Amino acid sequence: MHGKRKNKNKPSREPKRPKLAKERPQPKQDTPAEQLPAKITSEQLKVRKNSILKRWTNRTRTLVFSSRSNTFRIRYLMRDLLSILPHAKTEVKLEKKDNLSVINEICELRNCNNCIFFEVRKHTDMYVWFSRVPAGPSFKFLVENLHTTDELKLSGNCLKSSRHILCFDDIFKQTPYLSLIQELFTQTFSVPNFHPKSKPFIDHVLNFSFTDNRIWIRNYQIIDGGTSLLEIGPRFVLNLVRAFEGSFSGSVIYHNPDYISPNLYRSKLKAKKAIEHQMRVEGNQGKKKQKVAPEVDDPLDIF
Amino acid sequence: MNQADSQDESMDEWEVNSTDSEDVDLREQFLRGDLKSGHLYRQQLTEETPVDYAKTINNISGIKKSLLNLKRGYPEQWIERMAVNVPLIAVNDSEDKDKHSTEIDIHDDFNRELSFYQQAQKGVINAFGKLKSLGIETERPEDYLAEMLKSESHMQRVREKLVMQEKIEEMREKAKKDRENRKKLKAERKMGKSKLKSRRSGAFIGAGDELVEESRDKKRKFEDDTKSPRKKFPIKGKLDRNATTNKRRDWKDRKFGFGGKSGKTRKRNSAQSSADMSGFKSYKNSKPSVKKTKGNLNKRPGKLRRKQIKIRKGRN
Repeated sequence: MHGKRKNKNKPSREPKRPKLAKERPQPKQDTPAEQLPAKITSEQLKVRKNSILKRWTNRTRTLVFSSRSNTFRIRYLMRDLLSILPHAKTEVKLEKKDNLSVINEICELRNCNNCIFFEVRKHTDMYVWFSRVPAGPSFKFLVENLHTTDELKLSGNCLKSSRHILCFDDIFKQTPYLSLIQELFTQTFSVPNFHPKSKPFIDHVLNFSFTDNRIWIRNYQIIDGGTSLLEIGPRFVLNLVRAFEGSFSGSVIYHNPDYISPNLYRSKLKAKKAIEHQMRVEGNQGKKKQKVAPEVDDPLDIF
Repeated sequence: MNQADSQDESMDEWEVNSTDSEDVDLREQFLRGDLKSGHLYRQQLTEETPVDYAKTINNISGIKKSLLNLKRGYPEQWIERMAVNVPLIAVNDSEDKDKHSTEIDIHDDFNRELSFYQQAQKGVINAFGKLKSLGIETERPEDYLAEMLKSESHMQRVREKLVMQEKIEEMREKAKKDRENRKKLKAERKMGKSKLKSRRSGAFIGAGDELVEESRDKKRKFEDDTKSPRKKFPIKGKLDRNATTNKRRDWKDRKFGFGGKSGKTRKRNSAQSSADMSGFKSYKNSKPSVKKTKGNLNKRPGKLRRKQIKIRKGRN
């Protein structure tokens, strides 16, 4: 789909380019060349070319949507994500009966190559899938400690759909499965350069920290060139369940040993309570016995 | 045999409850992908969650393959990604620094958020350096106005909350100051009172106060005799009457007396008054003797009686 579109668009755009190149760049090009004399890397050259032409070449899009019977929290989080990511699109809620592999087709129809899919179970447990469509990989996370922007009342604010910096913990580079997560997150979350909906300034950071075997996500506003930050929101924690080779399918590449499903956790809590109750009952019985016992064994009774 | 069995059991237990360092080794091996499935490694991360590494998967080659595939499908230039890697350094209170300087206490909200904040700040400085070298503008001019992420109404709520917080903080501080002032004043007053008392100890007692003084003495005696717990352990917060500093009260007490009933009612229904028999006159209070004079005066029997008498007489 992508390739075809590009080809279609190409002929209509080509005549515009030389115009731009002729009109603007001459004075701008000269000054940086004087400032940076000898070595300019190829990347810098490319960037400068693009910045002069203001071309939007990176056409990745992210689809953000959820399953039916989602909760208000998820809806608000989705709204937050959509306002942060100008390259994101949304879809109608997915029927629960549908197989997850349908999502691949939906993404293709919407020209999206990344997908963030929220799945809600029992109206309480929120899972989120991050996937690269159609080749994979995909990750399933449990969403914990979710606070949306609306409920947080944090004092930070930034331009809507401005580009942001992604700040990862060093550990993401060092461990294999985390490096895969970092790569996928950068591709889904980073706003393409010169995206038409994006604004040309960088005024917030998405922060990804890894502690307690979970990924903690925060969003900060940058003030005065990074001298200080103000949190914007949302806040949430991702606990990895599994990583799959394909998109919503395929063999498992990574299985988190520390993950405990909320169902198991709840049942354990219940069992613990039951044990406590049992102990209390037994304790009470013991007390009763103790109360009775001294009367019988009272040495004064003998006299 | 039995002994050997018990030894084996104890060995098994030891293996299951392996030390922390072994756990860490296992974990590292697992993350590196060196742990082969089929080996049964059991360890206890916490009491409730034994981790069975035989069941977990960490397919390193698969991960590397998909990482390569992923990277191929996205532009390599940093400007498209704008991602930086920065070490996350735990912020801990100075007391705990010796114990875990590398691990974040996730339940300590303030320090946890602070360490995230510092990570983000480092990342921003790092990224801004790169952006500068690429010659890209980051800060927006003040006259560039556009739609913000948070709506004006939301920011209004935030502002209100901030103002409210400030107000609460101010009030709290004010209350604290007031409390301290009151304490100071009280202490000062107490000091003044003790001085007054010492000055008054040799002072005269008014002529009409003898009775009051007597009753006070009695009361004290009574208390001493019974060793009342109240005197031994005076109620906290209740001032000792003898230590008052209220001059007016002192004067009033001296003039009108203190303790017991006041004025007119003092002599009413007292033990003395109830024992007083001076007003008793026996002739007035004793019951008068009953006189049977009426029957004697009327000699004629009643009509019925008379009839009966007549009948009796007639029969006879």
